[in-house]
Amino acid sequence: MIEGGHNSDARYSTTLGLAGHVCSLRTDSVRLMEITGAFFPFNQDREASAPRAAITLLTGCRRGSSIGCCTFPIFRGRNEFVHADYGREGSVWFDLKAREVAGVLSEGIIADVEYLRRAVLAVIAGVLAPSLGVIVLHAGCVVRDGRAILLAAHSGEGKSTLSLALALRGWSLLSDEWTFVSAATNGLSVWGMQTSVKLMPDASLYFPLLTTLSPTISLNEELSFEIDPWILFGVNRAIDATPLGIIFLKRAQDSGEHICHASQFGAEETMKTLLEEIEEQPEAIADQNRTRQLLMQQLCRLPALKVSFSGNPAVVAADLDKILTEQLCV
Amino acid sequence: MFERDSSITPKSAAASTDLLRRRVLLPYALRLILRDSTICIRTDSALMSEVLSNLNLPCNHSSGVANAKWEIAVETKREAEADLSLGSEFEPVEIYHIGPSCALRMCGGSWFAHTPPSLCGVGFAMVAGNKREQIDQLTVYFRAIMSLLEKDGARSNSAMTLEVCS
Repeated sequence: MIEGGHNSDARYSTTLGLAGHVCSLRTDSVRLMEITGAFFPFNQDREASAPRAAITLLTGCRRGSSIGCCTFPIFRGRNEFVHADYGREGSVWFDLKAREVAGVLSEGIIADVEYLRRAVLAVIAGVLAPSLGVIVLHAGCVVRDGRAILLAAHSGEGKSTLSLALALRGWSLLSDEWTFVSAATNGLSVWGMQTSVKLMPDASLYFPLLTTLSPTISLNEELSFEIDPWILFGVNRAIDATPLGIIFLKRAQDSGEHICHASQFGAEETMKTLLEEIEEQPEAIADQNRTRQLLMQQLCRLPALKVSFSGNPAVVAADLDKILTEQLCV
Repeated sequence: MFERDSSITPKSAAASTDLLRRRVLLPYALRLILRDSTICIRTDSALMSEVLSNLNLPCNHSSGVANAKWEIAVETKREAEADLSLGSEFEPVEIYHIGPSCALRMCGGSWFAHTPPSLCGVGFAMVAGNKREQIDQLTVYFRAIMSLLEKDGARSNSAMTLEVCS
């Protein structure tokens, strides 16, 4: 056996914010501390409380490479324990009941900032959040004047494309795929992560800037563009907001015509549809599961619309903009 | 001191999961007993019996699978499904101490963690290659766990018994 990292090596510490909850980070790497701190921004004016979760990340993985990574993690979970394995590049493990996260990472992972954010830090956020009583929703989110609209849809329906199209019309982009919902003083708050947006290759038909790039193989082996929209398109970024309503997107059969049709969606249908995409959590975090159930009930009382669409995303976004203004008063 | 039990009980169909959603069926259950605590090993392959032989565990008989404080899920892959880029060479086990917890990991994704002096722990073993390679990998894995537990004093002087329920 070989001895790897020790807790005593984690001499750097900082405070992180995850969907409004305070977490502590200990690490043996200044670079890791800086990147993780930027990914989980902590607002000391708002989030003044003792840490609810502890994260320790060490750089002791000795067999890893010193260059960039492309490994998709392998997950295993049993009750409150979750393990994410990155092969030679490291591991991250979770005790959701104790709200503790520990990981050992290679130099290669730490050198590849994009991979670190997308495949490690985003995973930490997504796995840890439910144990803090936060809902992880499979939805994009756009914001105007501090008020957010959630864009929920199954994979491949066009969440990312329409989120970006709305951002190009002046909305602030909070997320394109995963949105965190937590309790706030007067209701709910939604939060995003600073990860790249993934667009399918045909998106270059509608976003000419993409033609200057080449699609690459993503972590889940799909050919796609993975871009930072705030840099490439200059759209505004929102970190958090108050949710005002939910749009359920459904791509209509492509008939060559432009379609954008909205209909009302009741609370019961909203709950049923959202629950289809929510990860089941272990009984070991029953208290946090009850908190999340209460948040879901509040979320499902928000106004909701079902929107069927097809055609050019820019044109659909213009119609959606009008629908949101007229029907949801955003 | 270890003992092995070969009593027959109904297979238990259960699991580890991949990110808590897709359940991986592990129909075989083996149990280690340490005083009043049990360690449950769930696996998809009967080759664990050869692993136990490598660990010099003599036979004993008992019955039933009780609730376990420690659970280890062992998944085996056929040679054709294995990631052969990892090669069949054996790399050393890595040990990490983070806070009060200890963890060990192996390159193929196998991992075990526990927090002494508590007897609660969890592990996932994933092995690949041909049958001999899988047995060798699992033998190293379990030997590493036992060494870790001995080092951390989690094992007392009491006898540890293993019950195999299939």
